[in-house]
Amino acid sequence: MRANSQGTEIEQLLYWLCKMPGFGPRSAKRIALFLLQNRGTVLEPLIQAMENARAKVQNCQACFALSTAPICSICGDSRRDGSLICVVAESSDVWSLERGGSFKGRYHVLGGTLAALAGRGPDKLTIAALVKRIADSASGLQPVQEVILALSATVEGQSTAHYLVDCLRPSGLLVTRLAHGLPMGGELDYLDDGTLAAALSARKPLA
Amino acid sequence: MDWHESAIVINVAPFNDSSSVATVLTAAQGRHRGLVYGIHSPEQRGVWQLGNRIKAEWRGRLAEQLGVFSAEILSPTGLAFLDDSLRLATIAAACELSATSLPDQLSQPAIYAGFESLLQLMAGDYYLFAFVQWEVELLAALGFGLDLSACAVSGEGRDLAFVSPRSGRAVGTVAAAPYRERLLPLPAFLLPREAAADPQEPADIYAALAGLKLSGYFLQHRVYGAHHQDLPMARQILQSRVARLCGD
Repeated sequence: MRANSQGTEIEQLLYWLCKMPGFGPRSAKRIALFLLQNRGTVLEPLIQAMENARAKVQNCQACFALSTAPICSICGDSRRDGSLICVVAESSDVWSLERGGSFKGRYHVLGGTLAALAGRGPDKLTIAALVKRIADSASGLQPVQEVILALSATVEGQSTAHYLVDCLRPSGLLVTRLAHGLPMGGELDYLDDGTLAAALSARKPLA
Repeated sequence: MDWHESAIVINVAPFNDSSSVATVLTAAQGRHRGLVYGIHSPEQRGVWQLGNRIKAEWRGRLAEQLGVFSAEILSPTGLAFLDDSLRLATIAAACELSATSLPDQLSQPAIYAGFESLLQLMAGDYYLFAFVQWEVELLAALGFGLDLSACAVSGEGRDLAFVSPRSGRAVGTVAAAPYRERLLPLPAFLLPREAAADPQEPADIYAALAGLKLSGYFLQHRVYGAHHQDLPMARQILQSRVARLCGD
């Protein structure tokens, strides 16, 4: 960021705010100004919250979702169906699925999708941990019976899904994936060709 | 300067929250990169998927600059085979090979035409053979072409069944006998039409695997090995998937 008369501390604040996703120099200035004008009510609680998050937030040891405890609230909830594991790419996908409230099983966060050009091979994802988790569950109270692959409907997402199917094949589990096609409330006129083709091939009888 | 041309999306890497750097393959521009603004918008996200054929427009002040892409979709090939693990792996392998082996902004009409015809053949049964043939063309474009026209020992153009891993030249069955173990099997579908015993004979999955091993060997040793790299991950996944189908 260009040096100006604002002083090093403000420049540093602007520099780091600009690193946030969705923040450009203008929005960073607006946020910095707001924080500095509301030190007691916003800035100090924000610093405290960030410090707490830095100190306490970690990856759940079972599912690798972000959590404040070694085992997250979902993995530690005995009411959740342990025989169902929903595999997602990122922790944000867990939040999206939990927002809907329709899934009552447990999750596994891969940490991304396979992308060799971005340097994300199978060893960078938590695939081995998933295979081990499933194998370990066989001797437990609630063995895993179905793995739902909730990965993006993109070439990278589905390539990862097929790779997971290859890895899970020896376990003999039922492996399913989320449906592709029309969104709720979607109009045909606004859909792209790929979505329409996927919706057509995944059609199901009504009667 | 600017250009607009039919292209195939071969890589998309995130740049910032709303933009990505896309790499496309075209006939006249070869491998070309550019920034795509608003790639996560509903209009854009289906367009910039690996293997999709698009009408790309690139704008930049100088050819050396990153420039900006805009595009409309011609055919969503990449998205059409999301459920088919082998076809999806084939598309991903072709994209990754193009993105990692070709030089930037060097005209590649043969490689582009081969990739386009591969995408057109994806719905049929012979796409794996088209892929191997495209890889052999890729090797030739990179300066490591195989000579499959005649036997390296006898000079005859018939009964070719092996390839020398050293010279990349075909070897006939008789001449290969003493060195058979050290040679790579040559599937019939890679032979020039006049040299093949029965060019109409449909090749099976075993022939496809032999072809993948053959082209994979030369890609590994001549192209990627020279840079101390392994074959691209998608290419390795494709070969292991075909090998599993063959019980190999």
